[in-house]
Amino acid sequence: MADPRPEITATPAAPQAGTAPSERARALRDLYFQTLSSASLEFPYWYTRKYRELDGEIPIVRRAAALKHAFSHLTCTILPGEKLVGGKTLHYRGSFPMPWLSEGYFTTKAAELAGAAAAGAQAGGDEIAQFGTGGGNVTRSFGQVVSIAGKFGLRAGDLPALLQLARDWEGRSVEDVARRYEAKMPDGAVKDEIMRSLVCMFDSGYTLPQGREVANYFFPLQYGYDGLIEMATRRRAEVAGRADGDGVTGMDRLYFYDAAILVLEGVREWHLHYAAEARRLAGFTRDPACHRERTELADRLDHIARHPPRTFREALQMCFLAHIAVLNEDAISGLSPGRLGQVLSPWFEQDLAAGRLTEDEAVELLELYRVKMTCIDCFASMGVVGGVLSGNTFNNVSLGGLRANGEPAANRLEMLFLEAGMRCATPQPTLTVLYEEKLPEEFLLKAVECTKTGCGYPAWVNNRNAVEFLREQFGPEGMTLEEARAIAIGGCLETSPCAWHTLTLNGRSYEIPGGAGQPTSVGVHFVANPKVLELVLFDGHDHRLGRRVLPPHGRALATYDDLWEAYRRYYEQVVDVLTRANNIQHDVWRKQNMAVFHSLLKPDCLARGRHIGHLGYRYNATFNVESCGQVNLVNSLAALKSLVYDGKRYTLDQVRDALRANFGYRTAQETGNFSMAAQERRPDAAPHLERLHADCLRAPKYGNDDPAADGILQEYETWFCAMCRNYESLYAKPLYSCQISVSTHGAQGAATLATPDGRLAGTTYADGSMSAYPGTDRHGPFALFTSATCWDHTRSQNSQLNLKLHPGAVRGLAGSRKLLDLTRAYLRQGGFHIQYNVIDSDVLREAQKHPERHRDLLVRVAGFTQYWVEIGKPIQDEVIARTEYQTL
Amino acid sequence: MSVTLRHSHCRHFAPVDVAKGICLLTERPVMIDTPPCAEFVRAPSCGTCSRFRPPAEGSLGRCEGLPDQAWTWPDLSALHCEQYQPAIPAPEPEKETAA
Repeated sequence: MADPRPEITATPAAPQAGTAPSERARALRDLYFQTLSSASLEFPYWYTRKYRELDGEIPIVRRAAALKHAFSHLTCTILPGEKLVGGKTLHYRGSFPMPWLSEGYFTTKAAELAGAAAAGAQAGGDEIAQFGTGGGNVTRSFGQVVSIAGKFGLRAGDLPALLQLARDWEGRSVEDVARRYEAKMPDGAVKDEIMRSLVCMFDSGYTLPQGREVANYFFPLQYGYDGLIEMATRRRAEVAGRADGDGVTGMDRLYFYDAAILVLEGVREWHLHYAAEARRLAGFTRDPACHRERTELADRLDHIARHPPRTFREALQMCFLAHIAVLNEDAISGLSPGRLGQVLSPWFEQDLAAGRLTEDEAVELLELYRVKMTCIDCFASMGVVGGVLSGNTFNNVSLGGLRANGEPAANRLEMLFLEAGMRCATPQPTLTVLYEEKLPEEFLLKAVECTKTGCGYPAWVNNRNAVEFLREQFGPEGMTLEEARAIAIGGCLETSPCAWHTLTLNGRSYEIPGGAGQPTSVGVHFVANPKVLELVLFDGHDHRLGRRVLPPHGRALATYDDLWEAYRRYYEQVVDVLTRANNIQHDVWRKQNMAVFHSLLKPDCLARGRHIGHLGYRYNATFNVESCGQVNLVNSLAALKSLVYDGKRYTLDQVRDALRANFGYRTAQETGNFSMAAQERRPDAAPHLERLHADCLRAPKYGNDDPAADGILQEYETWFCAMCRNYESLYAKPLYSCQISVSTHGAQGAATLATPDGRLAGTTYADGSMSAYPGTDRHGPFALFTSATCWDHTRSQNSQLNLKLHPGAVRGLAGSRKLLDLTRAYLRQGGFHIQYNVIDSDVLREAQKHPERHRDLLVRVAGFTQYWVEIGKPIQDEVIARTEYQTL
Repeated sequence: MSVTLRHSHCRHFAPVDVAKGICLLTERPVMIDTPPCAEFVRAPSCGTCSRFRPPAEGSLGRCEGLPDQAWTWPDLSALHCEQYQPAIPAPEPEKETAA
């Protein structure tokens, strides 16, 4: 089949790059800057009410009916100026709790929240004037607004309803049920200690059960919601009462299709409510152009509520609302639209040819899409939203890559995605280039220009590595090379299995990619590598909490090999208990809280009549072990090997004493500084601690092409990537390695004593997994690349390397070519991922002092871009401290 | 049950967040906790429904419109409630010009 998509260079010149967003997009983004993160209760109220009413119903049908009830009762808000509409709730930046997943926070904090509401009611409303300072996080209660978890605002009048909802789910939420069964593991108490000590900090089964995966919009785009309802109705009739050879789940197909119909009806009604609201808004204006715009919007919404989209505008709107519907069904972080520029290209191309759309109009729509995606919030606990995610939602659009036949897949619309990302810089969607040598130079240079604006995106991912990893991981489930080429990134950097679908539009056929696998945010997340080393050195004891975490290993640690052996045994013990606990959590989740809408969007649930929990997805081996702080671990092992075991300059006990004394420094919590850049010695610190600390800092460090450190990294990776596969998910698939930190290097660093590499207590770890610890990469980026690629990155789902460049290092066209060459050099050496902060550190320091002047400042953290003012101080300190390359 | 009318009670109010919204008549921002203007039109909510039974104490009332007779609260929107029946005539708002 000849691919009808236009060549990049065969279309009119792009709008001038780097200019400001359209007035409309600017106004809506400015409104976002002034908007508070807001929680509401419509969805959980109507969901809970229907769920209670249907006691005794088949679980998936009961849940689907509750979802339908919730969708069809949501208030649909459209604000003046919006051409692309929809949201999770009635608020512009809205979200809501899902007490059926976890309600414990609200029940335990009930008195505190009620007190905050009462106190807030007496406070002056002038505090509202602080909007914008510190971003949209509602960090404290004011007026009639209660702060929930330091992040979300809730109307004080809604608080009693929130607490009642929590009580309604007490003992029945996924968290409560899973905890009951986790406790039946013989070492369930060890798991609790691991979580308490922050050796691990994420129970995915009842916080964010799905995410870091790629969405799939094909089915509604191809068949429309009416078509899907018809399809499910037909299949329901075919399977009712038949096992068809599957004595375990064959009969369940009836209930799945019944549930699918219910949810689809709810989503359809939700669309129609938006259409009605658009029509109502048309009645408010006397301006004929505005009236026409709103009426056309209503017509589009009416159409896509039932039918496949006819135009680019309709297709984009449908994708956005489908995305939101998935996010409303379950607590999800990192639902990535995938290769959306390739998914939407058929409509874009045909609209351009028919004169229904111009490129300028397309860019404006993509700018509006950026603003709407940035409005997405995720309601979870403070520890998860703040400590793990830095408030980010990781909606990653992948660009480039290959088609199924191996030809480059970059297209003209993807150039416009980059253009919109440059004109309208926002955290969402972040962009990732799936780098292939075959990709057109024009496309790659456009991506470089985008990176140079300082927005932090696109990230650069080695497509070859990703394809190789996918074939290895999903080959047993039938993945071919052609299918592996459908790859997109889910969440920050998670290589995710996808599939090709044949889409027909006006008689022409197109192959479009879409997600085909389970979430990858699930499994053992995140294990703090330096904290495990701390437990090894202190025989399982956590000195910060004064508690035993792991049973004593009882080893003398007399040799380096003994230390390394003890480390691996402790780590494996941690992964083993966490895997089993996580399996229980997700098993409860799939029995009580299974995805219905999300399931039917991905192959092959509709065809098989199985939801995600019954392995309806085409690819299911996605659970993984995610590590954090591995560079600090490697540097610490290198220091111990050099100073204690090989050099014998210090005894292990001397090092232990120094770590407990924080090398004579105040802790990060005491100073309020969370990087090594600004630490204070205690005036009474013993002099020998200073010498020992200096030696630790001088010990071999990763990132300098030094075999003394890189050999340890190589040994670690060889063990780690193989070790993960020894554990089995609830779907009876082997786990694999995942190596990104998100923001946990801040939170888990805060819980870790000083480490033998010289890092001080409470300071952040190195970000990512391949980034050097700030200030320790002293031989330039190419030495760093050599260190980073001393192991085979295709053995892991990902790795992560962040570089901070001064804008002067990449100025002009020559600078662009240097940056592209630098990127190529790393990826050609076998690196998986590289991304850049192109920013002057002085700007960051100024922004830390005066956040109110920098509401729109974006930085790249670790796989995601976020507003500076919305990230916590530990991560701010870490980003400032990162090594800044002045030249290339 | 006395109700202090706010902008968020008005059908012409488009919510932005928990503190403010936009008046669809003027397309200008308005704070929720300020008195509405003379153009006020009461939006449907449980608190204005004839089937809502206010609480004897506390903040949560009861819905008698649906078979489950579940708890609810006055500020919950009833825009898409199939059993909504307006009961309370809109109180006369303070006479102010549109925000």
